[in-house]
Amino acid sequence: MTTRPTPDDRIALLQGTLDLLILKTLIFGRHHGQGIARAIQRQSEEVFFVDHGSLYLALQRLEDKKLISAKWGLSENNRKARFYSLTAKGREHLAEKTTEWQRLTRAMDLILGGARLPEGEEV
Amino acid sequence: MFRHKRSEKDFADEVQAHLRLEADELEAEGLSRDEARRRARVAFGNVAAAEERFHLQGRILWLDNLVRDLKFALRQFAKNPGFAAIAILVLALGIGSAVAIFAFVDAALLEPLPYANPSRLMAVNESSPSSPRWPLSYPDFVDWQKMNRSFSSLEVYTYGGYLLREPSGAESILAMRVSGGFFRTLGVHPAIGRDFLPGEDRLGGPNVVLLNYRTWMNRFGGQQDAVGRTIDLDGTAYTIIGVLPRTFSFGPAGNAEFWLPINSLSPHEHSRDFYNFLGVGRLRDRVNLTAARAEMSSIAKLLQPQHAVRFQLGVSVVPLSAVMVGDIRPVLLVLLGGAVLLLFIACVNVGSLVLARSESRRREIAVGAPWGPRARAWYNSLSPRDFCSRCSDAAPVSQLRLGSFAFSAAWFPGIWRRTCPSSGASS
Repeated sequence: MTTRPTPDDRIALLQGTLDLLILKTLIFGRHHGQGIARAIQRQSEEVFFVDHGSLYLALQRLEDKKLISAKWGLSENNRKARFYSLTAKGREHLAEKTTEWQRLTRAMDLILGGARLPEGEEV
Repeated sequence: MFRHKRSEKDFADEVQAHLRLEADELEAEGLSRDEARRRARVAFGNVAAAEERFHLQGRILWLDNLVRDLKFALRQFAKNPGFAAIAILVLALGIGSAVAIFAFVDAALLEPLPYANPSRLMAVNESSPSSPRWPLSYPDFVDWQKMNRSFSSLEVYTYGGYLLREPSGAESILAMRVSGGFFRTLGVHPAIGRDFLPGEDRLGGPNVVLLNYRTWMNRFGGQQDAVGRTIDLDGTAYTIIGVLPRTFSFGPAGNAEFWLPINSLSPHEHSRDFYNFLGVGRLRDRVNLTAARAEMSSIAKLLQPQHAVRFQLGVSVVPLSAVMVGDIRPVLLVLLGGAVLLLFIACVNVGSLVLARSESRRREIAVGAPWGPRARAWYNSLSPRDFCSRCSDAAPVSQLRLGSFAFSAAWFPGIWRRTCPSSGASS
């Protein structure tokens, strides 16, 4: 659901993570903004709520940095939409940031949660 | 990082597209059309606010980054005051010397002369085989003025020493003697009073004098009624007719305090072979330097028989700015080059300091890196070039650019002429 489920369960995105999530969503192909928002919410099991205003600003930021490129096109149900896809630079950036993120979460987890989670588990 | 090129209309279109897509999807999930639209809107939140933020993002982003980087730089400074002090000192020395030298270069080489349309002003003098720029004699000046078609006006100036008698005592002062249209040729109008009148430079004309602005301030206390008073020069009473503007300066005049029309000549100044005057002329529109030179040398040939000298006298016509700046140009360029190098060395020094220190900050960066955009700024602060531009408010880099601009402008006459019409042959 896109409507806000139970606000208390949602987690505010850490600064910088939204960019990473967007890039990750785009790795399987082009998407429009609404699709990206839905995908992030669905894949995080509704834990993340994406503020749409921030999403579009983030998309613009990534576009300005040439990590993604955008093009107007038609959606599967024939609606006009602006489609985003990863650039080579964006792909590289994603790989780099993902590794860093995994190292960070692993380190955080080692400290906070002992060895409860198996290694390499994603947050 | 930079202002985006995308229009705000395009962004608004995208938001509308989002709302439609979302409504479609909600409708497919079983909601009524109206409810789906409503929910899509609610889920999006404040559309106007998003558009406003898009608008601001483009404008504020770079400013925001700058502020963050500055804050970060300041924090680093506070943490290492010693390091900061050294860095600032080194850069300050580099910048200071570069700015000081550049001020000279700017005044001498870049700024046009402070006269109306200075690129048309030429220094016009005799030339001989041994000396390319010779003063001219008064009879020659009078003939040149009458015969030439290239200059809309041709004037001369020369130096004079006078004894100024005041109630407090006598003082020897320097004055300039100029032909009547001298100031009109330069395009300078007196700030107070009037210029020389057309007849006043004829031989036997009235004894009138113009004051430098500084003379007026120092000797007459800047009083309005100074105009009309008389002063005693060499025992003769001269009437003050005006005061030159504060901004007026004429390099060759040096410390001259008074300006007199040439309306009396010493006995030898009547001679065609007494070369005592320096010429300045304003080229007519659509007459170029080559044409003017050609015309003037043919006039010189005509007058040659009347000269006592054996060798052929020619006429030298060169831009006035070249005469004023004279031989200082290479000296200034060398100095500027030195200053730029010094600045560069300062930047490199600070850069190596930062590099050396970064070794100790490795851990900090390793932790910070995954946390997003700040990481980039941290990395940036390590690169010497960026450090220079950020930590000292971009001054040294822009200074470098300016310096190198001036330098290249000076070396490549093409650029030079475009940037500084006054030194070019014609604009």
